[in-house]
Formats: sequence, C-alpha cells, structure tokens
Amino acid sequence: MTETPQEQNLFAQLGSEKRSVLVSAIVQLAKVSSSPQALFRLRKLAESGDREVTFFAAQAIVKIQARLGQLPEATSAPTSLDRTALLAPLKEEVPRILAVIRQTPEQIPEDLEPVVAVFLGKHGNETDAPWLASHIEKLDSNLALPFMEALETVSPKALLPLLAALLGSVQPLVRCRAISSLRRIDPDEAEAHLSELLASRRPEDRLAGLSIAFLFPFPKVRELIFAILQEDRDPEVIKGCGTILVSNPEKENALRLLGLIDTADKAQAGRLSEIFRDLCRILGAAGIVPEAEARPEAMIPLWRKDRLKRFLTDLEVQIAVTTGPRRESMEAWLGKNIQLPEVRALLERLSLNPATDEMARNLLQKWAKDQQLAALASGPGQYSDEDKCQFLRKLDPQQYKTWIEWARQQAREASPTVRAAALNVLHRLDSSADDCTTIAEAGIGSGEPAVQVAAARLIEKFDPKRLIPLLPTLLGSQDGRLRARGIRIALQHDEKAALQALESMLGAPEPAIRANAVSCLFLFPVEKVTALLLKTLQKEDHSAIARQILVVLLSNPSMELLDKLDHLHSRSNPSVAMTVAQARMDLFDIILKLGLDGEAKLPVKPPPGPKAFILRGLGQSSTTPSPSGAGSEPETHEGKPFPAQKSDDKPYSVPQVRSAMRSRLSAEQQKASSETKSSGATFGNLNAWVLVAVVTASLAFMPTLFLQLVGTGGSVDSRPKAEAFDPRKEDQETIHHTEVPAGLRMNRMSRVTGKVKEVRPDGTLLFVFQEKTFMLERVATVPLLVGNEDVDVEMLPYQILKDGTIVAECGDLHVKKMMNDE
Amino acid sequence: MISISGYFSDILGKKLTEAAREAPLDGVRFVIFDFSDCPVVNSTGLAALICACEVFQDEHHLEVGFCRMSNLLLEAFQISGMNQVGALFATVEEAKVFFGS
Repeated sequence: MTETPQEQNLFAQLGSEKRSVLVSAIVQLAKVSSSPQALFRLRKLAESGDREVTFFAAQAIVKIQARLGQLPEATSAPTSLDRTALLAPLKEEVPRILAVIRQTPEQIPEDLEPVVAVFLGKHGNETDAPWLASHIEKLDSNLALPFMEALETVSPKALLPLLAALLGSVQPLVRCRAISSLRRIDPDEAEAHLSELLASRRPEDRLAGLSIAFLFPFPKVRELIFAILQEDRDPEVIKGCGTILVSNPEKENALRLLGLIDTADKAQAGRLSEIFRDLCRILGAAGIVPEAEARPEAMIPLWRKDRLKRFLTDLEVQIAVTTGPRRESMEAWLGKNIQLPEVRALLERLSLNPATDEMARNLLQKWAKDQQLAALASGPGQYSDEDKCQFLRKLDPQQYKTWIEWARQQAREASPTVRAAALNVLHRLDSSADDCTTIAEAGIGSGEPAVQVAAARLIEKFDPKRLIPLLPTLLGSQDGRLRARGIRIALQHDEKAALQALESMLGAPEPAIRANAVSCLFLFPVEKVTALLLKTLQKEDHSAIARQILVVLLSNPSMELLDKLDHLHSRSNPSVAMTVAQARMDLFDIILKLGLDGEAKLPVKPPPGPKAFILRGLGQSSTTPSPSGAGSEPETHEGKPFPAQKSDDKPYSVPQVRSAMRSRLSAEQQKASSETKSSGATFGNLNAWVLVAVVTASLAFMPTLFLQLVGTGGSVDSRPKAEAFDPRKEDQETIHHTEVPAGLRMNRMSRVTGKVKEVRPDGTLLFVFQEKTFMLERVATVPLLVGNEDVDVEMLPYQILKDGTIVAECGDLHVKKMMNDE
Repeated sequence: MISISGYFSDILGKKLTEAAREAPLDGVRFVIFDFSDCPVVNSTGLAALICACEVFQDEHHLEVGFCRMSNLLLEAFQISGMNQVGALFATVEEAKVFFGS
C-alpha cells in the first residue's frame, strides 16, 4: 500500500529533534494511517526504551492494527493487566479489567498507568476521576496527556482545578491540551493563553500553539502569525504558519505576504515565497480570486496599487530600526523600485534622517546618474581629506600657533570629516572661547552628525549653557553621541522641557516621529521615562516601535518593571500584545540570570510577628498585605514571593499561570544554586551575591594596555554562576555550550569563516567551522577553490543530526578575500 | 580587548570611563569590547560606554569594535545609535581580522 502525502509528511516528522513534533506525529499517525509502513516505523519507536515515545507508539500501533483488521494479541491472565488488553479490549473483557483497576489501583505497574488512563477514558466513569487527577498532578511530561483526555471525558469539572498547573507546564503539548480544554469554558482566557504560547521564542511552543490555532478566530490568529513570520527562522514554524494562512485563503493575506517577502533576507524570502505561491494557488482554485488574478505575477501590480503607500509608511519606520541582512534587503528593494515616484519621495524623507541619510543619498545619487540628471561631485583637491585629518591630529600646541587660522577655517567650511577633525583640534588646543563657540554653533547647524558631535563637545567645554537653545537639535538627532550630550545638558538645565518635547514626539500620529522619539529616550535615566514609555506602549499599534520601547525598558531590568509589564494591556494590535508578552519572558530571563529576582524576596522593612508572606494556593485572596503594598503575592515553592496578581483573577488566568511558572523556574534556580553551594564550589560570602559584574580588560594587542576593572566594589561574588533552568533558552543553551560553536546560534542567521570539506553530488556542501561540520543546503553557487582557502558563509543552522553534523541553510558563500590581495 | 561581564550599569560604567582615561594607550590602534558575558547594558551603562568610546576615538584616535552581543544588546545599540560609534562583529576573531591584527 502506498503512503499518502500526509503519511509521508508524518513519517518525516518522526525524525524531528523536537519531542513535541515527534509525539504529535505519532498521535496523528494513529488517527489517519492504515499502512504497514507506519506499523513498521511505530514498532521501532515502541522499542525505543523512551517511556513517552513507547506509550504513544504502542497506542498508535493498536489503533492502526484495528483499522487494518488485525486481531489484538492474546490477552493476559484474568487477574493481571497488559498493554494490548487495555488498548484494545474485547467487549467481554471490559468489566474484568475495570474491576482489576478499581480494586487494586496500587498494583497497576507504573509503565501501564498511561494505558490504564486511555482505557478509563473509554470505559470508565466519574468514580475514576480521583485516580486520574492524582496522576496528572504528579506528572510533568507528555504522559499527562492521556490522563487529561480521560479526565475530561469522565468528569470535565474535575479537570478545572488542575488547569492552572497544566497551562503552566513546560510541555508544549500539555499546555495546548489545557488551552483546548479551557476554550470550552472560557474562550477569551484560552485565546490569551494561545497568544502567550505563540509569543514564546521556543520553536516547540510555537509549533504546538499553531497546532491548535485553528480552534480560534482567524482574524486574531492572523495577526499573531504575521508577527511570527516577521521574526521566526525555524522552517517547521514557518511551514506551520503557512498551513494556517493557506487554510484560510484571503487576498489580503497574499498581499501582506508580498510586503514581507520584499523586505525579508534571502533565505526567509524563499520560505515566504513558497507560502505565497501556495496561497495564490488556493485563492484561484477556491474561486476567491479569479484564476487569472490569482497568479503570483498578477498579484504584484495589485499590491502596488493597493498596498504601496501603507507599505512605504511602514518601511520608513522599519528601515531606521533594522540591521543586518533584512536591512540590506530593504535597501535592495528601494534600489529596485526607485523608478516609482512614491519610492523616490520616501528616499527624500530618509535622506533627512541621520539613521538612513547615507543610504538614501547614495540611492538617489545613483538614480540621478542613471538618468543623466546630475553630474558626479567634482574630484578631490590637492590634499585628500584623510591627509588633512592626519595633519590636524598630529598638531601639537606649538605647531597649532602657526596653523590656527587654517584650522579654524577648516572647522568652518571643510568637508564634514575634516570639519569634525578640525573642531576636535580646537577642543584640544584652542583657548579662545568666543571664537571656538561661534564656530561650533555654526557646526551644530550643519546637519552632519559627526560635525555636530564635535561642535557640541567644543561648546560644552567653554560654555555648556550655550547648548541649551540648541537642545531641540541635539535631542532630535539620530546620532547616539549627540543625543547623549543633549540629554546630559537637558538633564542639568531643562529636563522638564526635554521630557515634554519627547512626550509630544511619542504622541505623534506619524510612526516615523514616534520611532525617533524612542531612540531619543534611550539615554534618559529610566525612572524618568518608564511611566511615559508604559503609557505609550498601551496605545502603540506598530510592533517595531513597541519593540524599541521594550528594549529601552528591558535594558533596565527590575522586578518592579516586570510587575508593571504584567499589568500592561495592549489593546491596539494582537502583534503588539505578542511583542509585550515576549518582552515579559525576556525580562524574566534577564532577571533570573542576573539574580535580580531577589528584589522581590527582600521585604522593604522586616515584618514584625508573623511572616509577611503567607503560603497559599493560586487565586486565593491574601489577608496580609505585602510590605510594598502591592497586593497579594503567590509564593514560590520555597516560600519566596512573586509579584502580586489581582486577587480576583481566575486561577487559570494568564497572570496567575505566568506567576506560577516563574515561581517554579525561580525555585528550580534556587535548587540548582543550593546544589552548587553544597558541592563546595563557592567562595566568600554568598549572601552578598546579587549580580556578577566584573569588567576584565585584558591585554590583547599591546603589552601597554592592561585594563582590569572590577565592578561593584566589595560586592563582587566569586561563586560560580548557577545555570538557571530556562525552558525558552534550554535548547539554545544546550546547543550553544555543547554542540554549536561560539558565534553561531541555532535558527539565527550568522556569518562565519571556515573551510570547505566536500562538495556533494546532491548539491549540499560540507563546511567546517571550529572543528564542527555543517551540511549547507541551498547553496546558490559553489566558489572556485584553488587551494584550501577560507570561505565566508552566511548560514542559518536549524538541525543537528545524530552524528553531530549541523544542517544549515546557506544564504551567501564566497571565498574570503585575503588581506594581501589588496 | 575589554570583556564585560554581568549587568553593565552605572557602577561598571563609571569604572570603565575612569579606566579608559587612565590607561596607557600609546601604540594601541584599536579596542574591542567583548559582550559575550554581558546580557544587558542599561541606560547609564550605555551613556558611560559612549563616553569611554569618545575618549578612545577623539583623544587617542583608536578604532572601536563591539562583538559577541546578545540580540537584546544589538537592538539596544541600534536604537541608541551605538552601532554608529563602533563596528559590530559576531566574533572576536572577525573583529581582529577587520582591524588587521
């Protein structure tokens, strides 16, 4: 019998490194397959020795055998239980098995318990609920799934008290099953949990979330999917997103995909294009769009007509805040479409923004040249700018007396590079305050960031107050150094005005102005702007700007901030809500990593009498206020409190579940930390440990440079850092530390230099970097290698094979240019 | 090379600025910051980093590079414009090659 495409797809998933994908594939095969090939593969898995895999495979085998008409094997003795008898009992055997289970539950072998749960799900009743519930409580693996399914069948209400713990499970499939159950009693809360699950950057979480996304209203799921498509690189996740989009064919989605493809890097664009083509095909086949219009090439003019303006508005924000291959793709797109007047108008605007001016000017200049509308700038003069800069840098006080007028002239009217160098010389050697500040004030108005920075520095040297009228220019600059200086001045002289200006920028309807405002805010003391940023986040509808705001907040981590983010509700756009959810996870990771969760464990005042924090179940109201007055706080397993949640929250609400997950993670970190302590690997006073902050400047290039900086005098902790259990980064850290060379991360585009080991006939290429072999797929062109040259590779590693080889998608590959080639 | 470890905030920032001013830098051509053990640089840390880079660049004419940064740090550098202050690299080796070491 030939396998169906669906079966072939599931067979491929049986080889996945992701446990949840493997388990899902086995469960799916049990539902759809009736092929001997499936039985063969499942039997191998059933003998794997892995308890979870064995159980699910055995269950699938029995179901497929039944579908094939194969009889179950002989049943066991009347007083005992066996797997086959439980999974496919003969009708007359059911009462006997039920009696054995109910009369002697303690004699059920541990490995048969999940199978018994399956049996009870089919043949049990409400009296079996306590046994099932007790097993769910003690299991934290995918083996909880059959117990959950059985309990939901025999007594749905008995599952309700367990939902909070299940929704916080580290097992994505268990979380998904719990969300599905919750959907029946509280769809809104279930939707919030789905959003939280999809916000996780762990591919397994996202894949599991996508598997139940079909159960939720598509308009909301669509926004989450587009948010994932913008950032996720995992091929399985992208494929999952594509499946949902293609299953809900809409012309609007095809147009949105086109926008994403145009600004994605090459590897990502390839994956998105596949989804786009499938979607076009379905749109035509389903008659949603006339077949002629549903062709991919026919969609492009439609996109230009309907979406270009909105796309360009978005691009103006995105390009200013994006780096790496994605920005290069955006630049390439602008260059390719510069013949459109709307694109040239955008480039004119970008040329006024210091973050994009050089790129925009270059593109416009090239366009002008191509069109023969303008001539190139004139050639160099007698001395190059570099010569002049070198000369200026070498001037000493004695020589400066001779060259003072020339240097001042250069500071007034030379090219930006020379002008900045001359202003720096004035800063270093000129003592005439009036002359210098006059020249510098002209420099501030030049619009050239390098000149403005040097000019501001010169004014600050002689008379900082003269910078106050120039604050709008300084604060509005895209140059970090200039803004830093402006903010320093503003904080000293007119902080209120600076904050007001920034607040007004943040409230601007134009996304580009808001993006600039956020970058201005970065160097303010965070306590001055946190409230403003949180307020802005609530109404921000652009996820890139929201992410910028969150990066500013995340860079100043604290438990207080985490608490504020927990209570922030973004109402404008589901993708922004997802960005906020990711930021919460990132912030908690940072807090755990830095040990800042101690903030919540240290009461402001020592509480007199009874403990300030009382141990209680989730969702119960507190009778003792927390010292900070923040309300009730659930405690960790070790009695350490975690941020307050509203006492009227449902026990399964997202904040409550999130709090429980954090408590568990923190407790695990505590446990790991105490184990480290007991192993005798600690030094000094451990109680003083709050964060490790050591700057070590080591001599790398010159014997004269040896900086050794030790931070937080007196509070340096020499004990080894305990590894926090962190499910979101578990995969990444394991791989980072044990298998993936430094400088690379799974599912992240990286550029490395190494050697080509072998070019294989199937077009893949074996590449060695830091003694690790990579199998590069989708290699566009294999370079001509004369010897054993180094090659530069841009790749996206996404899978580790059993022999340790890392499979990666190749973005770019070329022979490394040697220094002496030039 | 300057390896920064832990939470880079005002205290470390101050130490870095002081060290940058006092360090004997004759003959040095470039400075590479390694952030592999630094998960986060806060606002005051960033301001201090800018000051240190200004000292390196304007007073000593050194080139500055930043490497092995987390995604959060990369984003923070992008937003704050720090990526214009120095060159960004994935690895220390790349930075050394770029500066011709």
